[in-house]
Formats: sequence, C-alpha cells, structure tokens
Amino acid sequence: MAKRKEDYFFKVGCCACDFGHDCLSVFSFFKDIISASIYAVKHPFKVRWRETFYYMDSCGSDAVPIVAAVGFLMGLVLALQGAIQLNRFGAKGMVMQLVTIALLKELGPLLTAIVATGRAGSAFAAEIGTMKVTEEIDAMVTMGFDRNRFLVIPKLLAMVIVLPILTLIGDIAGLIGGTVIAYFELGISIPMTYSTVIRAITFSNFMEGLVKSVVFAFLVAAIGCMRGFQTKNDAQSVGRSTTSAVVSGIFLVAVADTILTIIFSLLH
Amino acid sequence: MINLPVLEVKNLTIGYGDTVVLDKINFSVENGEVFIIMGGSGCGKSTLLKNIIGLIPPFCGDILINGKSIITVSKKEKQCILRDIGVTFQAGALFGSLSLGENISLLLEEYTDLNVSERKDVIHEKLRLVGLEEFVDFMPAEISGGMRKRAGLARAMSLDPKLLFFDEPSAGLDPISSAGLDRLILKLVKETGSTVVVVTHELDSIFTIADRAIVLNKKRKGIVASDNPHVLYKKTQNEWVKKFLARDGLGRQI
Repeated sequence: MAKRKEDYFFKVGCCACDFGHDCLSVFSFFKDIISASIYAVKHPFKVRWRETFYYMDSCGSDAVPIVAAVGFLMGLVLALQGAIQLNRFGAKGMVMQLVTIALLKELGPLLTAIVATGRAGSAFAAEIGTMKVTEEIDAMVTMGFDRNRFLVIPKLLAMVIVLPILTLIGDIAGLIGGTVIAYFELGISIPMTYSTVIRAITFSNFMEGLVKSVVFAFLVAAIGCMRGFQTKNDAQSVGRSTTSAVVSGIFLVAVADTILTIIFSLLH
Repeated sequence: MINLPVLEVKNLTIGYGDTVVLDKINFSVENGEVFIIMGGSGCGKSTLLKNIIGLIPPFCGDILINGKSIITVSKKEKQCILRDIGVTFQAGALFGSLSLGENISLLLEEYTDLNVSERKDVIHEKLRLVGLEEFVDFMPAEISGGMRKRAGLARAMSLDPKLLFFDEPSAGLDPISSAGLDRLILKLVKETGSTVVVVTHELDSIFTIADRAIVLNKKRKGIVASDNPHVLYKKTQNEWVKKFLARDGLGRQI
C-alpha cells in the first residue's frame, strides 16, 4: 500500500517536472521566434514571401468553408438559446445584441482559433516533424540557415494575417445564423435585426476580437512549429507531435483568452 | 608555410544523455584526401559525424575546421564556418517542397550575389556533375533514392566547399548505384580537389575510395586502428579490425 502511494506521488512529481520543463521550453522558443519576428520586421526583404503566400492560401482560403459553417451554426444555436432565456424576461428583442457581442468578443476568435489549431497547427507540426525525420532540418542547420527564419516566420506571418480575416468571416456567418433564428423563430424583421447588430458593434468590441485573434494566431502557429521541432527521429513521434500541437494549442488559446478577457474587462 | 589539417578532432568525448559513446578520440584529415570513418553498427560513426558538423554538442574536446574551432565560437561564427562545408545526408535530405534546381538555388540565393541567369548556370553545372541535368525541375519525391543522394551531393557542392561529408552514401543502394556513387566521389576529388570525409561500413566502397581510414570500436569507445584500408587489411594486429575488414574471417580477397 505504501509503495503504491510512493508510486503515485512519484508519478505526480514526474508529471509536474515535465510540465514545468515544457513551460520553460515554450517560453524559450517564444523568445527565439519573437526575436526572429523583430528581425523579419526590420528586414522584410529577407522574409520568405513565397512560402508565406503558400501558407496564407492553405491556412486561409481552404479554411473558409469550415469556419463559415461553424460560425453560422454557433450563431444559430446562440440565438436559439438566448431567445429561450431572454423570452422569460420579455427581452427577446435583445437576442441579436447578445449574439453580436458574444460572437465579436468571444466566440468568433475562440472558435476560429480552435478550427485553426486543428487544421494549421497540426499541419505545421506534421510538416516540420517529417522534415526532422528526413534530416531536412539537420541539412538546414549545416547550411548555416536560421530554421526560425525559414520555417517558422512564414507560417507565423501567414497565420497572423489570415486568422483575423477568418475570424471576421466566422463572425459574419454567425450573425447570419442569428438573423435566421431572429426572423423565422422570433419574428423580428431583418431591418430591425440589422440596426440592433450595428448598434452592438462598437469599436472596443471589434478591437477586442481582433486583438484576441492576432494573439491566438501567434500561439497556434508557434506551438505547432515548436511541437514539430520536438519530434524524434521516427514516424510515431510525428503522430505524437501532431496530437500534442492540437492539445497544447487549444490549451494555450484558452489560457490566453482568459488573460485577455480579464485585461479587457479591467480596461473597460 | 604550415599546412593546417582541414579537419582536426582533439580529445573529443561524445555521447547521448549520460552515455559516453566515444571517449577522448583524436584524428586529423589532410587537404585533398578521402578519409573514411568506419566501424560496426552502433559504434558512434554517425554520432561523431553529427558532432563534427555541429548538430550535437560534444561532452568535451575540440573540433577544428580549417584551423577554426566550432565548439568555442559564437552561434553566428559557427554558421559562417559551416557554410564552408558540404554535407550529404543518408537519404539526401532534399527540401521536399522545392524542385532539385530550387534546392541548389537556395544556397546560392542566400550566400552569393549571383543573378538569376548565373544561378541557373551553376545549377546546371552541379547537376551535370552528378548526372542529373535533365531533372532540374523534378521534385525530390519524383526521383529514386540513388538520384536523391546524387542531388543532395549537387546541393552540398553548390558553394564549392573544400570539405565534404558523406553519411552512409551507399546505404540502401544497389551495388551498381553504390559503385557509381563511389566513382562520383573519386571524380569529384580529382576535379575539384575537395577533401572528403565519409562515414560508412560498406567495405567495397571503403577499399575503392579511401586514402585513409579510422576504425571505431563500440567496446573500446574509441579508435582501434588508423591507416590506409589496404594496409590495415594486410598488416593490422588487431583481431577485431582483421575480422571486420575480412567480413568476420570469411576469406575476403582484395
């Protein structure tokens, strides 16, 4: 019995150490890519633009249907649930206000980031992981190339440009979903819905969503690349890195969302 | 004027984690020679190469390339030293998203002032040297393993390095392709005067191309013999080296 307890505490201790070590690796990697990003801003002609456009296309335009679909369904569900609760207080007319604020400030950036983690974050980890297995990363190092400049910055840049646009698309799709419920279920006219939505979109609400989506883009791309670099030299490890990129990405996005929400609420 | 060795390894101890693979080894490679690092599986050949080309830091000791240490210098200085060497990896390690021409062009774009047409000329010349001039627009996935190795060699030579490393060049190749690659290495040395360091345990290649070789041993964690492989085969007193070079005493004739 005592041995079992010891084993349990030993395992908990090991997990805590691993978590601490992982956090340090994340901070160290983020520090490296922040300095690589500063270098890219100072020397834009050194950025691999061809690769950046490729990733903008694969992470951006290819993700539009899924982001729009998820956004539309979220708007639909949010309006439906909101209508049921608000109807109790005779405030069903405020449904679209609820949908707009919730989508713009919270659900839009969050859901788009989760979709991006599943698509782009895992793809980045798999791509870099495979390059590790095929010794392409080693070749890059022996050629004297900065791996962050070649592999991370194009992905990071593409995500930072594309994710806010995707978030906007998700928001618009969500508002359309909400409008459908408002019109067909609650009988609110479309001009009325439109004016409610316009009133709810304030500069601060819009900026909060925008800032969040930029931060999420950075986190999703960075953690995807980092997990790729942590891949060992076997195929199974590529699978583990991909899974880890998605799990860590969603976790980091949730943590960042909480911190940003607290900061914005304090600023308000 | 003193002729410095192109590569010098001094009291080098290497390994993984807490495990020492090779302990305090010393050797040097002279200008223009084909130098072989050989030994049985798991003796640390590839680990040694990874240390020499700066992919893994050693436990202690020093590695000098053209008289400059790659251990004590800053990351930037190390990158500059590494630009003067070429490395051909086991499977070529070509960038999968770039064509063969683009793989070679990448180094030229980064480190030279050549314009597009001059770069095209260099790409053509390097691919011609390895017999792949017709495959300039092919992607690495579209060519065979042997061709990928040759394309990797063309890329490694794009900046005309004076020191070239090969990691297991014959691994996974049929005997004809393997012999072709050996001939290519010899042709390269003759035409460019480069120094070549090859990590391998393929005896046919070793006896064909080597000027000098060191034999690593897992148990001794070090170098057990060093000389021309033909001389080693005839004169070595070390039983293990004898067995190794004679394929476990099966009566190999050279």
